[in-house]
This record gives sequence, C-alpha cells and structure tokens, in this order.
Amino acid sequence: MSAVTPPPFRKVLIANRGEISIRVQSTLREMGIVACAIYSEPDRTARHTLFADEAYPVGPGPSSESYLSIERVLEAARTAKVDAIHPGYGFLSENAEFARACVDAGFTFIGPTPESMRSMGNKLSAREIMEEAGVPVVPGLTEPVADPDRAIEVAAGIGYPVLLKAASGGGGKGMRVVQSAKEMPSALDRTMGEARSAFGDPSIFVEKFIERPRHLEVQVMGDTHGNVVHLFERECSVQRRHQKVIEESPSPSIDKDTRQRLCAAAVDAARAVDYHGAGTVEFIADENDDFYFLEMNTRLQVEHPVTEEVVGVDLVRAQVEVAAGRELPWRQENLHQRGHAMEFRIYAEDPFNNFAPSLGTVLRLRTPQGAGIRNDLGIREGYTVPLHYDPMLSKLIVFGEDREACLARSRRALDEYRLLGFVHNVALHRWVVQHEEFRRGRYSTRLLDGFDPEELKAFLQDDEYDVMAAALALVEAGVGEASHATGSAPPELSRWGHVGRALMNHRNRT
Amino acid sequence: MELRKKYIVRTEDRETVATLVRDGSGQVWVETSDGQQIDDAIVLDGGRTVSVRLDGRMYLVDLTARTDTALRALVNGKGGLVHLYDELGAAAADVDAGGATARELRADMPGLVVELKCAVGDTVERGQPLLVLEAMKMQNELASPGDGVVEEILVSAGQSVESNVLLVRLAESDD
Repeated sequence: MSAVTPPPFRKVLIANRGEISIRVQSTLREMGIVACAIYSEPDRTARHTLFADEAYPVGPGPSSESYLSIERVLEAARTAKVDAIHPGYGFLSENAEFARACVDAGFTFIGPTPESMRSMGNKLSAREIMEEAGVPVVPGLTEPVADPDRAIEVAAGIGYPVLLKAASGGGGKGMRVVQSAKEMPSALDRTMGEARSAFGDPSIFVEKFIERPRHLEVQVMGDTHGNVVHLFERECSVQRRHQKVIEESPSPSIDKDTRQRLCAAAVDAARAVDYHGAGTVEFIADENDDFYFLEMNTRLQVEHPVTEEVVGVDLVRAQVEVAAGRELPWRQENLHQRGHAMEFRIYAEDPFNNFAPSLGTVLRLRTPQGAGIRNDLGIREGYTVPLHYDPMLSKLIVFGEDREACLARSRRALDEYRLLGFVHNVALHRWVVQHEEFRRGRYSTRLLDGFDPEELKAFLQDDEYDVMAAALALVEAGVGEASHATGSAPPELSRWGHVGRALMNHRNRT
Repeated sequence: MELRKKYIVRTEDRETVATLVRDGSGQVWVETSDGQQIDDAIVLDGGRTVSVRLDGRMYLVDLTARTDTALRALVNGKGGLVHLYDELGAAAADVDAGGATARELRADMPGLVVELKCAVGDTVERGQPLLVLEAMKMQNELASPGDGVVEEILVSAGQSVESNVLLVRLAESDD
C-alpha cells in the first residue's frame, strides 16, 4: 500500500468492547480512519471507551440490552455518521441478521456476506457444503436427530464414544461426550434441552468422538474479486472446557505435507461459500494426523495475533480494505511463516477454584515489555471488571525466532506479568509453559485434564519472607511516621521513603 | 537514642520478623530475622510498591492491602495473603490509604463470611477480631480498624461478599 492511497472509509464504528475494540481502533487510526467505540453504562470508563476517537452509549450493562441490541448499535452508527461497522468477535459478529441490518441501513459491514454467514452458521448445512467441496468431515450424521432409539442406532454404527453437538452451537456450548449406549437417552435429553435454551434450536447431531484430538485451524481471507488465500495454521489445543487458553503458530505437531493439505482444504472450504473477509476454518486432527472439518468462523478470531506475528500482516487492515471492495493486499506466493508465536489469554478466572469467575478492581498492572512481546490489553489500573461480560481481559502475544526461543521468552514474559487485585490465570500459563508435553509440542486438547491446582502453588510460593517483612515494616512505619510528622505529605516524598545501610555509612563517616 | 520496633509477618504456616531501627538522628534501617541489614529500600507509588536491595539482589514488593492486618504482598510476583502485626500483637498495618478507615471494616478480597465475632453495641478495640472471612481457601480473622462501638453489621455468617464491601461500621464510644 502506498502512502497516497486514500483511506477506504472516513469513519468506522466498532460494535464491540474490550481488547478487540482497542485492537481495531489502532489499525483504523493507522489508516487515517476515525475510530468510534460503543459502550454500555458500566463501560463508560473502560479502556476501549477512554482511548477511542469517539464513543457512543448503547444502553445498560447486560449485553442483551446494549452490545447485542442491533437496534441500539445501529442507532449509535447513525448518530456517529460512520461509513462502516466492524463487529470484532463474539457479540453480533456472526449474526447474519445484524450483517443484513447494517447493509440495509446503509453501512458497510466489515465481514462476509450474510449468506456466507448463514451457510456456515448452521453446523449441519456447513457439513454438507464441506462434504460436497471434498473437505474431510468427522464421520457421523448429517441430519439432526431427536429420537433416542435412532441416535443409539447411529452411534452404534459409528462406534462409541460419540459426541452430541447442538446444530446451532458454538464456543463449546451444547456439546456432550457419550461413552456408551446406556448413557445415550439421558445425554440426548440434556443436550437437546441445553441447545434449546442456549440457541433456541434443539436439533443436534451425533458424530465420532476423537479421544485425544488436536485443534488445528487455518486463517483464510477472500476478497470480492475472487481471490482467496490462507495465512497458514494455528494450533489451539490448550483448552479448558472446549475454550481456548493458549494458541500458537506454526503448529508444532504437523509436518509440511499435512500443513499443505490442511491449508488447501481451508481454501476449498472458503471458496465453497464464496467467502470474503477474514475467516477461520477449524479442524480436529486425530493421532494419525488425519484431520476433519469442524466449523468455519466467519469473523476475526481472538487468536488472530499469532498469525499476524508469524506471517507479518495486519489482518484488520486487510479486512477493512476488502470490505471497501479493494483487492487483497497479498498474493498466496508472498505469504510465508517466519518464526514462532504464542498467545496467552488472560482470564479473570480462579484456577485454584475450578476456574470460577473472579471479580475485582485492577490495583496494579505491569505487563512485560521488550522485543517480541505484544500486549493486547483490555483493562487498565483502577478499572473494575464488570460482571456482565466475558472474563477474558487481555492477551499476551509472544514472538520468537523459533519455538524454543518463543517458549523461553514466554516464560520470561509470564514471570514478569503483574496483575493484582483479583485472581486470574497467569499462574496457569506459567504451569503450561513448563509442562513436558507442551514443551515437546505434541499435546492434545486434554492437556489441562491433568492440571492440579496444587502444582500452581509452586508458582506463587514465596521464599523471600525476609524481604517481604522488611518491605512491609518499612511501608508501615514510613507511612505512619510521615503522616504524623508532616500531616498529609505523600509518603514517597518523605525522608522515611528511602532507608538503608548507605545512609548509615554516611552517618558513620561524619 | 536508638529505637527498635519489630514487625511480624504471618502466613498460614510461617512467621517472619523484620526489625525497624531508628537512631537519634532519625536515620532508619531494617534488619531481617537473622539480623542481616538490607542494603537499602525505596518506597514507590505511595507505599504500594517497595524496591528492596539485599546483598545486591533486587526485589520488587507489591502490596495490595485492604483491611487492617490482612494484605496481599508479592515479592517478585510470588506470595499471597499475609497478616502484619507489630510486636505487641496489635494490628499494625495501615498500608493502603484506599482501604479501611478507622470506622469501617471492609472485605480485603471476595470471600465467604464464616463467623461473626461481634454484635451491634459491643465496645471493641483496635486489632480485636470482628469476623472471620474465608478467602483463597484460608480463614482470615478481620480485625477492628479502631477503638469504638459496633454500630452496624452489614453481613451475616454464610454470606458471600465481594472485595471492598463494607462489613462492619463502628461509632465512637461515649466514654
């Protein structure tokens, strides 16, 4: 892109919150586009609101009345007089109705067409399309099932264990593993009940359950001129309850040949739905490195930064260009993987207490810095984490010239990470990066099954009680004495603030 | 004249003492439990962070205190909940200016109120345990921030509370 290319839009609204809103704001600003945030009432002082060029309220705290309200988001877009809307991930990003409403209201939707979203949004129709396109899919039913007897028959044909999955599900919700025919009727009952309440659609399907799967996915991008490229794979096998925790690229568990076939399959998948914009084709791989189509996410992924670091691109920038009708900024032969990147999701969750959400105020935030370190922050010091939203607060992305260097740097960065005020999962990341299986690079989504909170304590165990006691004594005495002696003088200005042998030596000499 | 004051840091399973020494000219230094002097220390960020040098090694101590004696202290990122007392066993810590004032006892972290150790109308002293809060899998006695009379108890046993929630309010005693 030459410097004289005018920005494709004057103003863009980001229909999201937290770190992804800030991530998109950065690129928009670099492109000379005014970045407009939206915020719910409790988010008026959130980082994404404070740092935006413009910000517009969309309603009270609960998502359904603010970030998920198509009407209110469009109202903000009209007030802001934007040209286009970037949905981020989550919230309305995969809602075809929202994409349609944006277009109908005269805004460009930065994402795929509502038609592509619809065909990929339903897992059953996605499966059929993929099978037709020659993309391998997991053995199982291609039709929803409701009758327990029929489900048992199908499961017996595939062989247990099987996975029951909500047809309209996503993000690990509405999934259940069934080990034997005996468990089937009640499992079917519960899964369909959950599917109905979570997605308003009780239909599910039955497929082969892979015991020790790896989660691999391929970043793809298409434009409206018929170009589709892939930006290689990400390995996302560190998961907890089907939610990704750590992602890396390249995948350390596949060879060159598998990589080529995987990426080609992803491009076929994207072409099959005439895809444009950024998308991700997700696969699971079994122990023989056979891989099967899982689903396609028709949006930017949380873990897109690892691809950006390794391929050396700005995916958001490309999204904006493509949405404006321009050609993709790259051709396939110019895209290469260089080095290694990992992403660590920082969640406000308590790893010592079954990952229960933890709430609180950010009292201290000191993120690691230096070469190869990227912090996509969604929080700031003094910010109170609202209870209405996803517990993912920030992401730490680490780049190294190879996996070994990336691991060493990740370890360093996680050791330096200071987030105080509530319990979070940084200690869990520290546990993972020293885990033998993870270090070897061949691990399945069951890696965290072996996690024992007791082991985490080693990462928080302090042996320096002398130092701690000295510091506490000092603060206690310093603050107390200073305020006593000088009234309300800030303690750091008091002469008690700096003590020690150096001063004593000086005194002894005089 | 030299003044020495001991501070006791107590965790679930251990206790460490630091001695603050102040001579007649107002110079201050700190001795560890084995009598070693720290090289020097600098208090930063209004008392929320302390840089300690010991045998040339650098330590950054972060404090996020919320109640009278209980605080979270981390040395180079490691540590957790500790209690700080002076040598008389009285509540000594008053570390976080944003935390409890002398009339209010607040939760230092989210937790479960296990037991109330006071009732409305009780005359209490600074440092006296007022309730037990279970947090981080530890039972923490939360001590009275000052002398006074219990005016109001805003929680009951078995109740979960969030961080910084007001638990007990004191009034000045009438004597």
